[in-house]
Amino acid sequence: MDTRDENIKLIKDAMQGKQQAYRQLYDLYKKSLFIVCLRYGKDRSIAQDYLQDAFVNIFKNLKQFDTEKGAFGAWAKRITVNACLADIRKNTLYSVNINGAEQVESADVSALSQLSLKEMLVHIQQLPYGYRTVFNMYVIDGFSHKEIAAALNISISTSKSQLMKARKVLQKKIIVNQNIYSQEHG
Amino acid sequence: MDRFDDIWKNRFNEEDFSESDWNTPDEDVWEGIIPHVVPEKDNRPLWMIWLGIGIVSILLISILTLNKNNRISTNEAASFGTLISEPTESATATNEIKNNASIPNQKSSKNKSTQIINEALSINVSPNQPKKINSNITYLKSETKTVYNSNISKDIISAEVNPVRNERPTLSNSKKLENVILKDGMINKTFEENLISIPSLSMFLATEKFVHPIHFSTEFEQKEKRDFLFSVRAGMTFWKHRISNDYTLDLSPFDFNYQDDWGWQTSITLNYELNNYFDVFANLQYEQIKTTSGHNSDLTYSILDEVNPSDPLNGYALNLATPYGLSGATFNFNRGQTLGSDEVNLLVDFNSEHIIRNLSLPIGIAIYPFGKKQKFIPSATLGFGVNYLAQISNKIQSIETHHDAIQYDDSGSSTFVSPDLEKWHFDYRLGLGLKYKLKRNLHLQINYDWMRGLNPIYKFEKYETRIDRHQISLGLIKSFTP
Repeated sequence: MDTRDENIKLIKDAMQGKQQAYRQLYDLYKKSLFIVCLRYGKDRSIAQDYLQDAFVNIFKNLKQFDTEKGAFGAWAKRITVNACLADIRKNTLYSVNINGAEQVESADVSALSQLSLKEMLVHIQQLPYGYRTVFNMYVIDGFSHKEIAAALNISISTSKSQLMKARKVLQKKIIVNQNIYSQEHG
Repeated sequence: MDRFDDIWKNRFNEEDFSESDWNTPDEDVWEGIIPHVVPEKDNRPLWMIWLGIGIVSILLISILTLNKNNRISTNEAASFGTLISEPTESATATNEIKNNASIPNQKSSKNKSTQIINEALSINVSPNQPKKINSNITYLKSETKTVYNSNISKDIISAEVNPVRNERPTLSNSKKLENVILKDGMINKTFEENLISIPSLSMFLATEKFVHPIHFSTEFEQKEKRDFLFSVRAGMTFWKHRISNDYTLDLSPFDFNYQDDWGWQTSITLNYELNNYFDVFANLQYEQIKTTSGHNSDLTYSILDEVNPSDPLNGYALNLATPYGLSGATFNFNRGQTLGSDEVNLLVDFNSEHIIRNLSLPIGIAIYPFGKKQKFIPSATLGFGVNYLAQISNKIQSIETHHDAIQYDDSGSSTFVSPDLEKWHFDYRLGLGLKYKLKRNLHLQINYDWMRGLNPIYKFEKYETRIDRHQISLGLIKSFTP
């Protein structure tokens, strides 16, 4: 039995209410989905809350997943992103500044490539929540600006300006990081 | 930006991540999931909706059944006498009516009505000589008591027995109707007429075996009867928000507040009279309410984020906390003076205004405990309403920055509504009314209605808002018979 078949069996067992299958599914996907949550949350504690909500929703909606169509991982990731967005939406009365005209020089993409996943994640987590959410949704999770606007209750132009700002802040951070690295290594 | 974006996208969408502490959740995450693995489904709102529909349906059916039975009321029977005809299958004679034109009142009688001239009834019988059609059939020419019976078999136009003047009815067990005139002008059956004593009526009704209660009423009463009531009403409506504790508790750090408020409403109603004590009604109603809400938030004004020195402003995007969910808004702050530092932390008070337009279509029953014959007619109503939230518009009313140099600029703001609004919502409603008879067909009515929201108009996870309403209205009612 290959991995896909094993997954399908697990999903079917979970659909029948077998607790052990739930646990196995959780162990299989917790890592990849936790990284999604870490991207949207500003710290580990918040990310764990997102992950918990995400798995609850995944298990509650398990019967809606068609084992014949699509991959479970992609479906679970979508639910996880939605769980993150739901929490962001209800817990963010804090505003984001949508202006910003500061110019940042373009970062060397090779410097970006040299960053570890953890370092990249830290950069994302340090973004203000508005920038972080739009950047995650647009660049990494493939949402359109229209979808982002609808999901976050903002206008399309706000979504675009948030993305632009997020990119600039990230470039700035990478440049700073690169300069520190250069100074440390002569 | 393509290359830049691609690196981020590809790195975070890799299938395999190396296992380490930072990307592994704590064990207590699973412990938090376990209680939800077999969730309890809460069908209460749906249950309540179906319960409301069920109660109203049962009541309507009961009232309609009761109304059918009330077609023969003991009062009416006592006043005018009641005949129950039960034909037997034994056809014995077929006689042609020789002179149809001479049948009194036949043409003027309503369709399906039956003119029965009964010897047992003390009715105003013309002193004129009855016209003989043949030896067995006797018709009165005029001034006969017309007896309407909408329930009698449609084939029967009229029937008679030999009239005897000015005698009180004598109810006997069996009388013979000598002639039964059918639509086609033929007499083709002889009916065995069973005149039944009043206490036996209910038993007869229960059998429904060719039972034809005959409702005796005067022509005056026929004119008095009105089948439909059309009313136009207008008045005030009060929206009481039932907001979940979770929502208000989570927003309490922001000093969230909201107002229950009055608005106005107008409606048209069509009542169908079932009898002297009950109506069924359908109503179309429009309501408009204006409410306000507010909260505070921490904001930072940064000179570094200003668009340019000639236009010193900061733009913000923020979720407004409203009774109808978190609603997005964008707005600007203008800086009118030089600041002592690059950044200023503000505690800002937001006040929002919400205009709600709601359409509802209630159905139900109206009960008149004292009947409808008095000058003042009290009533009670019970109904179920289907509502459509036509519009909620949010608007920033004011933003107080509590800072002299930084002020809200209302020219650049925009607001959105929560995507978690439930457009369709349901209610059950109870009402009290008082009608005053202005003219024969015209009443003035004052009503108070109370409506309980069955499902939320806003729901997001554990947050929800339901609406209860109080309405006072004044209107005119016109009665008519189609």
